[in-house]
Amino acid sequence: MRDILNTPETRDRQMTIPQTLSRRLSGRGAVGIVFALLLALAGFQEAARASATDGADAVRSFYDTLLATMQSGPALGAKGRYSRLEPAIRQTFDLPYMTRMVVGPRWSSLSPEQQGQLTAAFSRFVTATYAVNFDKYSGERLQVIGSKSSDFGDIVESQIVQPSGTPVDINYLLRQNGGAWKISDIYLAGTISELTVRRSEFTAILRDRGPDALAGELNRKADSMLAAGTAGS
Amino acid sequence: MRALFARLADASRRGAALIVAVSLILAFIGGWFVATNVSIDTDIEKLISPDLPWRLQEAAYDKAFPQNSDLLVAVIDAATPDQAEDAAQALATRLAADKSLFRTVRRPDGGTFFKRNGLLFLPKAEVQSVADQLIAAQPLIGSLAADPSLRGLFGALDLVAQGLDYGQVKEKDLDGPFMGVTAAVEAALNGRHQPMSWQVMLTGRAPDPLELRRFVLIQPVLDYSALEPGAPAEAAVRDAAATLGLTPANGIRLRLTGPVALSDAQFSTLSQGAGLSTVLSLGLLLVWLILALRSLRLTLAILVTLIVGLVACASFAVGVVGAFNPISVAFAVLFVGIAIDFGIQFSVRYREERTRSDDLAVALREAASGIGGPLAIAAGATAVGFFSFIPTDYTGVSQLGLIAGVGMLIALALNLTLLPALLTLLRPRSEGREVGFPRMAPVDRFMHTRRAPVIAAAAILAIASIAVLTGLRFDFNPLNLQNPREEAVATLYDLMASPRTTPNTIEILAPSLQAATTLGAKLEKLPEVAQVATAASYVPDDQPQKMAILQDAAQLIGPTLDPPQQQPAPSNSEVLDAIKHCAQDLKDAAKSGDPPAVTRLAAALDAVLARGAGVLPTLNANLTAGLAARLGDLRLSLQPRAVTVDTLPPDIKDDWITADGRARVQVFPRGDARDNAVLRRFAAAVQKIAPDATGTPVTIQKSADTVVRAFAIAGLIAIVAIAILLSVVLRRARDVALVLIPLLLAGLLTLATGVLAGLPLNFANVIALPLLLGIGVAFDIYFVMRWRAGHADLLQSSTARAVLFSALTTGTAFGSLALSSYPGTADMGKLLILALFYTVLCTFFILPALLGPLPVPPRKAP
Repeated sequence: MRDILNTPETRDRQMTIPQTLSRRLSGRGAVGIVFALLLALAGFQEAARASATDGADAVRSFYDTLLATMQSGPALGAKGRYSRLEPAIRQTFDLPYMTRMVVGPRWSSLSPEQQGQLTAAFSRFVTATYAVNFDKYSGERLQVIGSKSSDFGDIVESQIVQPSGTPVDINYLLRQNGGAWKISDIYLAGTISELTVRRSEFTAILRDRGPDALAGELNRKADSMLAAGTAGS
Repeated sequence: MRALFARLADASRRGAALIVAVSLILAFIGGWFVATNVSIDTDIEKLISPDLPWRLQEAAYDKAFPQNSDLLVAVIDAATPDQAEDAAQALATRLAADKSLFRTVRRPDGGTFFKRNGLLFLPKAEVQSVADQLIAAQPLIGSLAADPSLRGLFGALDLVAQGLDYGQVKEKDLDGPFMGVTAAVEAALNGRHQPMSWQVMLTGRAPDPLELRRFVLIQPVLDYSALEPGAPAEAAVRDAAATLGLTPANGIRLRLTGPVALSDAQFSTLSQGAGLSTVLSLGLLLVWLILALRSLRLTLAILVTLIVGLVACASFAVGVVGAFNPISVAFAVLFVGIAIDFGIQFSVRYREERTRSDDLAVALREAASGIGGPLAIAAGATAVGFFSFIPTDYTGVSQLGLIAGVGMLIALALNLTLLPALLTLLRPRSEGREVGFPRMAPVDRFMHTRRAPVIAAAAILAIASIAVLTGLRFDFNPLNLQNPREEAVATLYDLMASPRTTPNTIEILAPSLQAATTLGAKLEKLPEVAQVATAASYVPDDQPQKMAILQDAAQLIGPTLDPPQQQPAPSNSEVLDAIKHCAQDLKDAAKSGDPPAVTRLAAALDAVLARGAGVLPTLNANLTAGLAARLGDLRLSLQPRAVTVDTLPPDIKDDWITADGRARVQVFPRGDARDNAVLRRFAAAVQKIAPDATGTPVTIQKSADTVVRAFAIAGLIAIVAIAILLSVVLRRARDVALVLIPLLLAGLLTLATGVLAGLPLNFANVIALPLLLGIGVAFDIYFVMRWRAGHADLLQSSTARAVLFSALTTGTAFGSLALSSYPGTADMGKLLILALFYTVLCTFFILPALLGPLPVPPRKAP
């Protein structure tokens, strides 16, 4: 993942605060960041509820699945965790929307095939990141602490409380899509949009090498993370 | 006739005490009446007849858009767009609250509409680049929205520093933002207020010069009975600005301009320094009077007569004409100039008679019978000259003509009654010496023996002058009359420098918006036109695409602009803590290279830490002032609404479309709008397509046309009327011609010299012409009448002495005008001096040659 972040093109974009934030929090890869904190979570979980009735429920339901996966993480292995998380992420995250947003204005000029490839690659990349970063449980608590509606959707506030007791704020933007509440953005430290960070990273690749290269890069990244079992290749 | 004046003098002498007492009592009553009833209507709009076609067009436009007349314009310049915007908003809000002084307060360039839709007015590519920039800055924006404080700012910068350390952030990308922050920190360390622009910081877009300048349009409650009708409102605006801290010390400059401020400035400069110059000119005037009369008693008599006359004339003006206008108040100058001449003529003649017969009664009678006729004719001719202005469309001068004309008759009456009465009571000592200028004898002889060459020279001068007069022009720009250093004037010139803010725009009232846009398209093709604005100009193009771009950015940024929770304001120690961490991480980052932007900020932050909490208030003001407002603006600008003419806010729509659907077209000139030639071509080109156009470039030229026409008509009427009057009184065509020829020659020479000296005619100095007419006619009549009375050696006569000193006194009064700091008045003074010089020259050195030696046999001397 670092290779994506550290491409010269990426560094040409000015505000790369979020990467930095993630480093400070985890010392590991960019998004792994927060998730690394979740590594050892206490065990309240249960199966994911079939369909969330509001934004907060959707996040709680995803956290449940995430916790369960972490608890049996070492046994499952990276690929096992990937298979376990993939349906939950697909159900909880509005991945087509998120892909469209990280690609940016060029999206509408891409062919449906290219859009499909990019969506699949980005979904794979996100899922792999979760599978690699949330690999085991060490006593973290994942809690939803509130929700507020805004012009853009519901903003759900959550905290990941580290074993040391230090809370890290993670907020989510949830929008209703096809009758279900789905996560459409993640705010690190409660303020930094995951989608803008990704867009900043991807813009240069997209501009210089095209959408196919971006899809290839994302898939290659996911593969290497899963193979190594770590986000920080 | 002569007997009549002699009897009048005798009667005045016999009833001296009564006449003086009654005059003084009437003068006191008149003075009291004037003092309690005098008013001046300083509304310069009323100077020109409102019935002229172009005035009707102007009035129709003003009625359609009443919010644009009588404006006081506050121009706010600041170092950053943020400051300019916030200052203008604060000022507008505050002023709008005071309904007693401000009828309306508007912001043509601000408010929610522009905050919400401002980005739509940028070209599409620029909208995209602003959106990209904002998206890239989202982490900073989100952090600051959650914690809009120094702690939030330095926390975010700290993250950047860590990014540098990890090599994720390149130092060169930070030069701009870091330098901005560094400059603000360093300024705070020096105790200076120098706020950073968050707008520039967040959008990465260098501010358009217009964004550093904001306007507040104010319609003050005006008091036209005051010399400066807008003065209370202007003072209140400045007070409000001072209270709000909109001061140069805070990097904000507020200037007032617009029609109200300009007109006030005009009247304030007019009165500025008037005191000193009046005292000086009065002193010098006394010196001339004493030199001419060599007697304090005579001087006193003339002055008392003058003052009584002035009061009488003012009473007439107040009682009959009503309020003065800015031009008609000049009656005082005209009156003093000519009435004092009458007094000098009478007194000098009296002195001459007194040398012949040392009997006061005889001297008065002889003086009256000798000078009464000439004075009556001069006063009649001068009055007729002034009355010629009454029928013109230049209302200001028309009223002046009436007042000054009546004033001439009053002056005549008083100098033939009150003056002899005063002299009777004051009993001046007997005269010992010759009153005339005996040393002028050779000149008199020369005039008689060399008539032909002198007349030929005069003819050549006249022809040369006529040739030069083709270059005569009228400077129609009233701004050129004002002191360019006055704030209102300087600011206006400043605004004219930009084609987008020039007030020299032409306005057209079209029957509908459709007609307006069609007309606009036609006008825009003219080479003289820079751009055309209509209500449709407020509807941006490519709206769907631009809104899609902004919606995309809003999806990414919007949710973090409204964080579920905002951090409480930090304590000083929390701020210092954040600064300490930031400084440390900056220094760590600096180790991995030598980035000057980073080390400089780190050093500045170390200095802040060394100074402690004391520096935080200034630092806070420099860095976080306006931050909350900018985040609010950003929130609005990411949620534009489709703009159509119908959905324009009333404030804007009312500026462009009337309730009955007529639409305004505003046309901007191409080229330097300060240049009269540019304005002339611009107005002509637009008027060819839209004959009913109005607006400054049109109205100032039409005003000039009206004024020039008024003076041409009045001049013609005056010459004809004076000629008729003289024909009736003098009953000899040659004498009528001899009075008028030197006058016309003096006029030609004055205007020609004006052309050569680059002193064009303008609205102010053109008033000098009637005075020239009055004085010139009087002087010439004295000489012609003296000659007819059998005096060929005119330059040696007491008449020459009287004319010379009369000219000197009048010249002194005008000389003081020429020194005025108000260019309009100064121009008038210069032209008056020039006119006076040529009048005296022609009277002294041309007229005697024209008259020549007495016909043989000579008439009996008076």
